[in-house]
Order: sequence, then structure tokens, then C-alpha cells
Amino acid sequence: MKKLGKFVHYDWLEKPHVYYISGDGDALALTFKNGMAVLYEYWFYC
Amino acid sequence: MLAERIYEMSWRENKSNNLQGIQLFRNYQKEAGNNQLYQQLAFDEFLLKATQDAGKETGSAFEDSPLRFTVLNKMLPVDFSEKDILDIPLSRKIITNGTGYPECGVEVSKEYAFDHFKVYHSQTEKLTYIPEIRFNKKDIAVTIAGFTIDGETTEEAF
Repeated sequence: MKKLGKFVHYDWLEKPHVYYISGDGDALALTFKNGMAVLYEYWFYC
Repeated sequence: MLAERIYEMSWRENKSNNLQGIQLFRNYQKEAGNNQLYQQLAFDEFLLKATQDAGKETGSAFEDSPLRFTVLNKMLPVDFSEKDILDIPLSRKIITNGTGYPECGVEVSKEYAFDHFKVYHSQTEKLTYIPEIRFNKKDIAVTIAGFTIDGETTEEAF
């Protein structure tokens, strides 16, 4: 978060504990559950 | 009203205003004696402050430090190929030409489905990438800007 904060987006109300990091034409999402990392998702966007 | 306020703060780009807003709102709740809500919003304030502080940094940590994946304690090359995936000593299911699902224009020729992650390979794009990981202890980890995340990484540490 400290290094990538400016690239990190989150919607604490709609999807709490999910953090999105945007790249150049791609993005990833990290999901935490009960305080632990559970899911990594990566995709290209149009 | 509170939900609307938090939502509004969450999507605004001007994070310095967001931080100021939530600090004012928290202080108001504290003065009003609503200590529970004051404590609940502490993490929101932390998130906003962390993202704001990071925004002050120059350069791009993401570009300078590409994603790296470590499977069974062995780090894959930055530009890992289909061969690197085949070398992973884990059982997998191979789905060839799957269901024809294009990834936003990127044709997925093969899917390598492991127990806790899957790998897409595009023959036309000469591209191999990991679209999904369901973290399981330390079996597989992803390193982002020098920070490694696996199934034992806490949200607080992130």
C-alpha cells in the first residue's frame, strides 16, 4: 500500500477488503477475508 | 447518510480532501460521544492517509518492479513461458481451446488449471499469464513492488 498507493483503488462500501491495482491496460485485484489474503485476480481491460 | 458519505469519499480522486473529510467526521463523532463509530472509521482514515502519502512518491514502483510469482518456493522468470508452467511439479488439468473465451481480445489457447491457481496461455499473442490465484498457505505467492503476498499475508501487513 505504501509503495503502490497511488495505483490502488478500493470501494470500502461496495466491496470491502478488495484492492484494485491498475496497470497499463491491465489490472489486478487482491481480496482479503478474515484479515488474510485469499484471492488474486488479473485481467486485461478494453 | 453515513453510508453515502463514506461512498462519496471512496470514489473521489482528490484524496487529500477525502482524508481531511474523514478526519473531521471522526473528530465530530468523538466529540459527539459516538466512540464506536469513531473507532470503526480508523481504518478508513489509515487507508486514505497511506494512499495519499504514496502519491507523493516520484517514479513508478509498479513499472520498476513487475509482478513475480513464486510456486513451491521457486520464483518464475519475469516473462515466464508455457515451458516454465509445464515445469511446475504440481498436478494440473489442461484445457485446450477451452470454451473460446477471449480475454478482451486476447485469445486463450490453453488453460492450465492447478488446484489453487490457473494459467492462461495465448498462442496467438505468445502470452502466458496467471489470471487467478486462490491463496493456499505458501504454495504460491505473488510479489508486487517488492511486497510478497501469499496465503499467510495479513491485510494489515498489506
